[in-house]
Amino acid sequence: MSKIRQRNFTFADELPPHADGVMHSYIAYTARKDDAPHRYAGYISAPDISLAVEYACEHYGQDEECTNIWVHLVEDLLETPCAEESIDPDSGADGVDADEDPAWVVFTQNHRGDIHIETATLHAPDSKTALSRAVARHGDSRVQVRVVARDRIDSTEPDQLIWRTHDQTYRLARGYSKSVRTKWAAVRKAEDIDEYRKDDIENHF
Amino acid sequence: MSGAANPIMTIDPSQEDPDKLAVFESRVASGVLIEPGDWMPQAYRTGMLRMAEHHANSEIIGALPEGEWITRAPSLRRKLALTAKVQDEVGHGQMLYRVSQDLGKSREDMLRDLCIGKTKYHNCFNYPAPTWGDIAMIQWLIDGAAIMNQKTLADGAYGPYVRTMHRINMEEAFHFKSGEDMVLTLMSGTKKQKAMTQEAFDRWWGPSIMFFGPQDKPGCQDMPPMRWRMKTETNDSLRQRFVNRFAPAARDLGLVNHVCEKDEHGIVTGKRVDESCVPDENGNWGFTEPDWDEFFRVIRGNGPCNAHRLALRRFSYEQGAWVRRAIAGGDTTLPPAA
Repeated sequence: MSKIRQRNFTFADELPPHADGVMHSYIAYTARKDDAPHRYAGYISAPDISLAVEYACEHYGQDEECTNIWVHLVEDLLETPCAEESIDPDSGADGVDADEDPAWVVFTQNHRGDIHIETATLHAPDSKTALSRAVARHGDSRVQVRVVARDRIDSTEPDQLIWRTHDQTYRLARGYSKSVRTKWAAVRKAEDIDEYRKDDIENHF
Repeated sequence: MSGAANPIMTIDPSQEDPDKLAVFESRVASGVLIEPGDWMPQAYRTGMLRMAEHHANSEIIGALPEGEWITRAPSLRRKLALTAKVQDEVGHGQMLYRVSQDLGKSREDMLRDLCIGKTKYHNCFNYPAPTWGDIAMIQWLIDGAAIMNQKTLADGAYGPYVRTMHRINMEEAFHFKSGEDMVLTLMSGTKKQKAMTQEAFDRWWGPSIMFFGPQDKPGCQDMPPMRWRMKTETNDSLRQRFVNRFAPAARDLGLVNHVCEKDEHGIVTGKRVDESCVPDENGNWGFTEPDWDEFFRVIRGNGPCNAHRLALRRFSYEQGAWVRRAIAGGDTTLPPAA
């Protein structure tokens, strides 16, 4: 065992000073392929948006294959209340987009508990107008609509390597499935293996 | 580590607005998922916060015993897999702390409360892992138990927790398969490897049975944690499903279920074959109840590794303070030499 794990630790009388306020909360999204919509991945805490992108690459970019990552401050989104079943699109008001207005990315949630997925981009003079247009255009059959100013979103560089290209089957369940099945077959009956596998998370194998 | 959340919870909903509570309960009963902006009883908010915080604490403490084995993994592939697993577990902690933050407690307060022992983490991480066989057994049994539990938690009612569970379960599937592969490899190996695996099985079967929490109390189905779908299956029901899955698998592998006596360090000092570990007429496998006095002793901080795990966490927190200051552009003075 390493020495650091064997030692008797000694501590200061008090914990280091409280560090609240140093970190900000960001939301990260990943795109699985070029031109695929960005899908909500999770939150990340970072002192600024550049580091948030770096952290998101390490945290969410290694969980699954992806080609691009978006990050924005939590405070930069404007959203509708989460509807019970579906937003009424008529509660929004559509309008004509002017190219000179800022661009807003629209994210929608299909059902409660689902993740938010990039749905469209529109142009509007301010966040309230953008949300209202997004509701009118994309609210149908959705429980929530969010808008974020495109220029408040930071992203990985085009062609940046996020998901490493070497063999990573060691970190995926499917990297073991065949070997495990073969080894079980040597000691168990097929019906026992099938019964045992019922509690696997099948979607991910 | 798969720190499935089973803190012991007492929730008192009697202080809530009865009309709002009735609407909330009706929505939950009809399968509606609760999102952060929705009204929720304070007792629900508090209960979910405690559950998610306990789960987050378990993830980052659970990475400690496995992290100690990265440098001693028996092959490059196993080392890569274990490194990835430890990274996953800490990542799960970060995601779950975020769920907890939204429920009203700052991340810094949660990390500090864990360091000083004010909040808890899962009991099973207070046991030692003296051999590579223990690492295999943790990934097979403990992660297997966690998947069973977390699949039911993913059917819960709190949207952010459900979303996080789906993402976590994807990675738990890798952890479990990796552990299964290790156990199968060891049990098809040499006599020494098989003996090591049996000894690890003896150490981890009890904590695995305890994993699902204490025995159910009468009426638990009607209590708030289940009525509000914070949990969707009882401890005893999950425990029985776990035994039904793993007891016959272990037997077919050549492992023997023992009833064990352990010393204060968690090392087995005596054992006998568990004669009750056979299926009944309904197909339910029997098992000897674990030592519940031990369970509560460990919860109170008197387990084999409680002090060591918390000490290492606090050590890391203190030694890492200058890094947190540095990334924020503050003072980068190093701490005194450790």
